Amino acid sequence: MVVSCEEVWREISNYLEGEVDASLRAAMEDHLRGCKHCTAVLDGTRNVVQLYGDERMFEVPLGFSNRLHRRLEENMPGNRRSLLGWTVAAAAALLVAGSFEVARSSVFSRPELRSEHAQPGAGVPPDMLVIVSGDGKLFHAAGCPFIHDKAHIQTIRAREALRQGYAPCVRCMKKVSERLISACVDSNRQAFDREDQCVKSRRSYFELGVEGGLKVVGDIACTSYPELELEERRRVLVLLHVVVVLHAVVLLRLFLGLLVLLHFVFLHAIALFHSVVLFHAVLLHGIARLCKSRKRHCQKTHCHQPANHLVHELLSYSRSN
Amino acid sequence: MPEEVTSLEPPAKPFNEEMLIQRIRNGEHDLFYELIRPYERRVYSAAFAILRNEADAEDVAQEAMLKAFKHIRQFRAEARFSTWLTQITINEARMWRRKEHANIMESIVDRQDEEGNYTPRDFADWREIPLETLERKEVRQKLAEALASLGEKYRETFVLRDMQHLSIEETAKALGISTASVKTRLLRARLMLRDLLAPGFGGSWSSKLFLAKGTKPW
Repeated sequence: MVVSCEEVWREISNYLEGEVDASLRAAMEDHLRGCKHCTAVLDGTRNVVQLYGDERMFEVPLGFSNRLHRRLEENMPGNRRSLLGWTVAAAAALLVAGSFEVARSSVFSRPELRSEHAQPGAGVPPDMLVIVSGDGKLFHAAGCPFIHDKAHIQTIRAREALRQGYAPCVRCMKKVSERLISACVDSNRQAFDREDQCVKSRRSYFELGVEGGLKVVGDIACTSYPELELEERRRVLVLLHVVVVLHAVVLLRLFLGLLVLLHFVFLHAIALFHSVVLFHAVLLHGIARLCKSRKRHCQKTHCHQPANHLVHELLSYSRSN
Repeated sequence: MPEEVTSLEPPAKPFNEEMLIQRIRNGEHDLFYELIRPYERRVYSAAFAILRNEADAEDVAQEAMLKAFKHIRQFRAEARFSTWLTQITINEARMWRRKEHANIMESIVDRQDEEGNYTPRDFADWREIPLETLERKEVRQKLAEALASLGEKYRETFVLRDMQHLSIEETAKALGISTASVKTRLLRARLMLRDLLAPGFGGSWSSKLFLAKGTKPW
């Protein structure tokens, strides 16, 4: 089988794709061996394919990726919230926060503090070991230089110390809680950095910073009522539900009341309207009848004077009786 | 004798793509960034090849990605995600061009018949083209200019097959034409590009006019 230059050019693309049958392929290769022009065309075409097929051919503009991600983020569901959604969320948050505060302030009696000037401890981990002295008013971290009456010290858990009315020593416990909070922040920061590297490496630092910050705040918020024990937390939860349900019922009741009120107003308005219309209709009808009958002659007297029909009727009625 | 052309092989498919898509469908929207990261460049270059304008290409690429995200549930597993994404990009770019009223010259160029045989005009030998030349910006620019001077249908076909590495069938499906048409257009696009680029690769990149359509520097 012998092929011409034109045939080779026609099939050159398919040849590169490997889509020519064996006999044609052999014939083309035979031709290419002797034809310099066709070899040049084949080499050039292959070069074109290779050059354009390279990744480096097109450079994306600087910042393309960031702009793309921003655009996607703006349009992803969950990033957009309707006003109603925000309002409901805000209301719910207020309700929950309010209920929690109510629960904290009214239901649980606070242990009576040994010092009337001290503030009750908050933010201290309940299971931390602290040191109290028999007649002291404060509890301390181990190694605090401000422990009085070192002869009668005992080591108990912070939960117990709080219950017994000890207040945290401002000098050592402040340091402890600061250390705890910074440790919490550090661990969160590390976790977020790891996450940053593996999962969300394409997202900008600022957005991640906000997220990481929120996570830290969330963790601090979770540990902000450490003095409540599990049982107490459960009771708070139950109370919280009761408060939420009560609020819902009151709101529903108000809403229904409003509906009923509107209903009454509406009915009254309709009734008023009807009576006014009826009154006017009767009035107009009477006037019309009056006007009409005036033009007629009185049938009873046969006189040709226009007479008030109604008056005549009335008169004849009274006469017959 | 001519060795096997390796660049025509499609790139390897990421193994966890289906898993990612499934998780995105289940609401983990943030994973969409992971999914599209390997394809950002491809989507942009597909849009650029059709629109030949950086700003438009970027807008279209963004639109296409957004559309892909919104319609991720409609993606069928039997197709490759890259093909599907390219198809969306091509459609978006075409719609964009229609909206922008592309120049009429383009459509006249497009009416060239594809039946007649294309005869190579230049037989300069340019065997030695190392891919490293692509590091040079002017080389890339000349290649882009040559591609831009092709008629639209040739450009689209060439971009999908040889730059996006879709198969013939996938190209045909994305463009809505037959595989025979894809092959014809591909042949012509490749030969035309070779003709357009041959003088430069023959050694005279300094010549300013050699890529102007239909002109030769000699």
